[in-house]
Amino acid sequence: MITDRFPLTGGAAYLVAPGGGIDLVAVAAPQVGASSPIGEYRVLDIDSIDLMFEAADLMPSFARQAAPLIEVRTRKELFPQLVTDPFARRVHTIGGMDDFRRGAFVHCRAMDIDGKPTLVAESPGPASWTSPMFVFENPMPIADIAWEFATSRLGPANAFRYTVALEIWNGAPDALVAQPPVTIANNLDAAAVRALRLPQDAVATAIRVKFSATVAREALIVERHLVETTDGTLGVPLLQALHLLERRESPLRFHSLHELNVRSKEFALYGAGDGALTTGIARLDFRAALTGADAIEIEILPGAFRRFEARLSASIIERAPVTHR
Amino acid sequence: MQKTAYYPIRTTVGARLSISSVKVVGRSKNLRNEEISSLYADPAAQARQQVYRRYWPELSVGRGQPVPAQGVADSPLPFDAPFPARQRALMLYGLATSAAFSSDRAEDYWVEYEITLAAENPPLIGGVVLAGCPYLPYFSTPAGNQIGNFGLPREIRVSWADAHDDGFLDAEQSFTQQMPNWHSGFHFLSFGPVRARTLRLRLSTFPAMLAQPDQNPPNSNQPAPKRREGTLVPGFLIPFLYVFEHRESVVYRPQVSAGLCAAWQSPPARADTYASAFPPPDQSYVSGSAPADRVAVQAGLGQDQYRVYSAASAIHGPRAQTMDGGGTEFFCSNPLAEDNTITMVLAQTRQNEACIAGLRLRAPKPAEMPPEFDAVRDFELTVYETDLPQGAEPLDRTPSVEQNAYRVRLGTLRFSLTQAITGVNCRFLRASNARTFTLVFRAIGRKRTPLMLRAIELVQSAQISLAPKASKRLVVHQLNFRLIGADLAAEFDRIGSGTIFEVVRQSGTGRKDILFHAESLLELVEKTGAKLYRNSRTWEVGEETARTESRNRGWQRRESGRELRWSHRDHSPDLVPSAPSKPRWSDNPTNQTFRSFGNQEMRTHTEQLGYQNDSSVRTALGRINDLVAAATGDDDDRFITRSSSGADRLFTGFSMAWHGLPDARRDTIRTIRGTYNMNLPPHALGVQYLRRLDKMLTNGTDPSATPEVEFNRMLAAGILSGASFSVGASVAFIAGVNASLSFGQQLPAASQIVQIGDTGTIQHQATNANYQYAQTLNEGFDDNTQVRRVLERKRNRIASPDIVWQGDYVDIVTGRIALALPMEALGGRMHGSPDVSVVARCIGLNSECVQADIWFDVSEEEVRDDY
Repeated sequence: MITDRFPLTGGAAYLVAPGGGIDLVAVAAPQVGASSPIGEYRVLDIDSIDLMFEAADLMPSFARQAAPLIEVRTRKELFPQLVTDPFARRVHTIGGMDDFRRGAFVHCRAMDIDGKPTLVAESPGPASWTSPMFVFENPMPIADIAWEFATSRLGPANAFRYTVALEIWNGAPDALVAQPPVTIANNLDAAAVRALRLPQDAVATAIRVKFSATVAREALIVERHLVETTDGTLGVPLLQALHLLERRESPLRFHSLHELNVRSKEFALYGAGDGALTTGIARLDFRAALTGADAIEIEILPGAFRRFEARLSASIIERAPVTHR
Repeated sequence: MQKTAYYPIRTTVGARLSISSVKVVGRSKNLRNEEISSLYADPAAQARQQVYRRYWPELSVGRGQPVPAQGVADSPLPFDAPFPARQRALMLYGLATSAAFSSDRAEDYWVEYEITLAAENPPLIGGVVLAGCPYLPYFSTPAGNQIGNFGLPREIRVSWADAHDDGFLDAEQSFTQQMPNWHSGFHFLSFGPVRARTLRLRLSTFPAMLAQPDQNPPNSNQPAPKRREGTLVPGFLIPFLYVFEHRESVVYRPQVSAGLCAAWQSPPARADTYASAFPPPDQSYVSGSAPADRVAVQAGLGQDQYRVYSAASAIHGPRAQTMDGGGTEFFCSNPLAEDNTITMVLAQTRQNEACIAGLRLRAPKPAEMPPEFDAVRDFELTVYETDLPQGAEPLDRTPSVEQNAYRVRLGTLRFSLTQAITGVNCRFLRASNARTFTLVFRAIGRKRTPLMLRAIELVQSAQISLAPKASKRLVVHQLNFRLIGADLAAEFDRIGSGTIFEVVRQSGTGRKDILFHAESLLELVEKTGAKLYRNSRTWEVGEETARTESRNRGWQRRESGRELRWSHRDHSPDLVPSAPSKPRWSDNPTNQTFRSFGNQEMRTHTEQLGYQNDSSVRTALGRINDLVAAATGDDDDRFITRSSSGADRLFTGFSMAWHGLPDARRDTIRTIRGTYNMNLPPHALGVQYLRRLDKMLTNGTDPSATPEVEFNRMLAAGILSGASFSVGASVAFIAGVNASLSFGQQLPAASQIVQIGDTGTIQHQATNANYQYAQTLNEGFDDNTQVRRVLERKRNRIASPDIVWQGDYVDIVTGRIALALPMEALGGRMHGSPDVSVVARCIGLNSECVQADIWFDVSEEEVRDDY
């Protein structure tokens, strides 16, 4: 069966305030609107967010304000089980053969597994890998961390256990100051969630990853490789990548209507006669595919508008009933 | 390894390479005193049986400790082995009989062999193919750990020293295959092509064997430790290992070899299984293992024996003489109540995954079944393809909901064992490209009867197809094809021996797009822009036998005559006039029809023309007559009677017979001067004599007018010389004139005859037939005239034979068809329409004379939304 896509229509297309209204400034602060739940097996294919706003005079809002007038936030499962705002995160990925090989190996090696560089343990004994030190030009706030293994979480939980820690240095690149290390995963099994939202941002100018694992059983490896100097048996293919999510200011945070205008596909202001421009519409360019628990939020600066509506221009893709299971 | 192409029918398994020596070059410390050995022998060699016996345990049930019945402790060569049974296979085995198995330490056990090939020069190695023993006892835990692993170590590494890689630091010279659970069929470790003569084979992470206690450990001076019953020990048994040559080919036949990963019964049987009869101390291996194989203990004369009805026998063929009465083995579970199930996890064992269209089941005959059971039982078979994300285990008996999302149902079949005796087919809803399949047999009805099967066969699809996978997103970039055949490009009006090559894309909307269709080589090349590598060829008669024969039978009548006219109805007087056309030499048409001129009357006249037409001859003849008359004194004496001038001419009548041939062409003839003969006495010929005679003959002198003085002189000269003088003329065969005067020969004489003159003949013939009629019967067979002609021509290319494939001169067509078709993973959250596929209809494309390979260029990405 093939199920056609259909536009998002009616009230479900509007972001609603906590009380359920579509006028997002009709409620007390914080004035926030959110999209309706999407649900499993559905994809909300968003093309834009249509905004309608009113004020006594919109012209003063063209000047940049200290606080954002409008902020659009996205809740998206950016990595498995890591829900965050992809527009407010920059991802730094540690992986690849060069990153791995410049580190230090103990009872493990870097191999291509299905075409992806992967840390592969060698049995017997625990395996560990320490990355080289990565030094950035400026300190960066690390808000979330996610990591990937070659094997899925659907495998036996006792296949291996692992620990990941992040050594952090702060300060200028030439004057690094060691910070307490951040434990990312502590003796987790293979079925554990592979993402972490840090309780508070870890500001780092330099980082180093320390990974260790103990392997209990085999996994599928069919590879042609170099002759190894060690004489060990291969264990489970393990770490393939570590993603550090740097917190950045979202481009969807608008401090003025001018910024909104620049980001919009359409923008217009209306007024009555020679009076002030009181009403504006904007078609904010926003492309995203959301599913499951993903959502869109929009927050309005209290007092900036006397009426504010936000509507998603989107279509719903719904999975056809599954009959092959 | 990352897959960028999918080869459904290609194989690189060439010929078996002979092995010259095998030796153990390394082992783990805990195997120092254990027997690690090898045997290079025929698959049926008796020496193998002695090894096999150690891998089957004594049981702990019944009277005493039942031992394997005859034929149980065996590992016959599977019928789907890549090489025939007459070729020797390497067997590797080792058993740590003094150690207890612990899965936590399984990776501590390893052994390394060095295998040297018999070839003098390093051959082109394609890889190693090996199989475990499918019939070995095993336990499969609910979490999916098959501890016996059919005797195969869970990690096998092959290393080589390629002649081309010598000295390079980053040359890849090892190949590792590691799997949590191996299937029971042949495994192709395809690391080639590499050119080497020595391989190192490292076996590690040993499985657990339910081994027979070894009473005489070979490599230890210490007494064998007393083994507890049911002890599992680390070990391995690889009965068949081959090193094969790298050689590309295709496998296109219905039967697809398979291997068993595990089989279990749910709920578990409480008795008559290895789990109930061989409980190891560590119950974690047994609890929930639920073996499906029925183990039947029978009382023997001395010691009880047990027989096994293994699931592996339905896949690899039975062990002989394991049943009562010497019958062969088949699979028999323990009795099943309603809705009880038998689950088998199979894997296809071809080097590359084939397109599977279904499977075929066959049950044993009623007479073969155990007497306490019968075939009156229905089962429902459901077949799933199991394409799990990396790390997930198909043998996991308690899969999560997320894991079940990666099982795609391929077909359901309800059958009875009675029907299955003659074979039942379970055709899948669509062809599958999966490696692993799960078969769930559910008992229907209340009667407690086991599942009994003699054969389970995977059947390849007639088409080459690619369908979505459960755990991987695919992008099918293009379909590639390659046709190789000796006479492939000899004729362009067909493909190979004649077939259709068609590529169809199903988009999921139910509509099929025929991307390509070709019925001839010309279409194939033209439509796809395929490259044709063709040997120039010409025709050569290699052999020719010519015989001709004819037979005739029929009537013929021929009639001709001047009054005849065309009377046949098809006669067209415009095209064929009744009157003959005019002769070439005349402008007048002949007014005769159907007349054959040349009657039976024939006149033949031969005239010798001599002197008649020459007056001088006639004169000379007269003179000679006068000379004779003068000599004899008788005027009436005539030496030759002269004929009259113009007499005896031929030309009277027959004017019609000559058909208007002009007279000038008939009777014009050269003047004939006649023949002169003269005899002269050489010594008596005086000048005066000759002069006189010449004067007399050539000048026409009258002999009678010769003065007496001169005549006497001539006479005297003739008398003195004894010569004769003659002058004459004759009409005989040679026309001539002569005169002769002889006085006898008084002295020896010599004569010289001189002939002067011409001869000539004219012969004219004519026939005239006014009417002819002939009627003949032609019938007969004459082997002297029988001629039979048969030509046998053989083609042979003798011009530019420069396209060579594996030693043969062939033509090659290779091309590709762009597809750019995405296929979402069926196990994903959002997508999952299985009704998307690419199908290449190519039945008949592979034949004895054409080797056709079809493959897809793909990009695979494993889904990551399994969290």
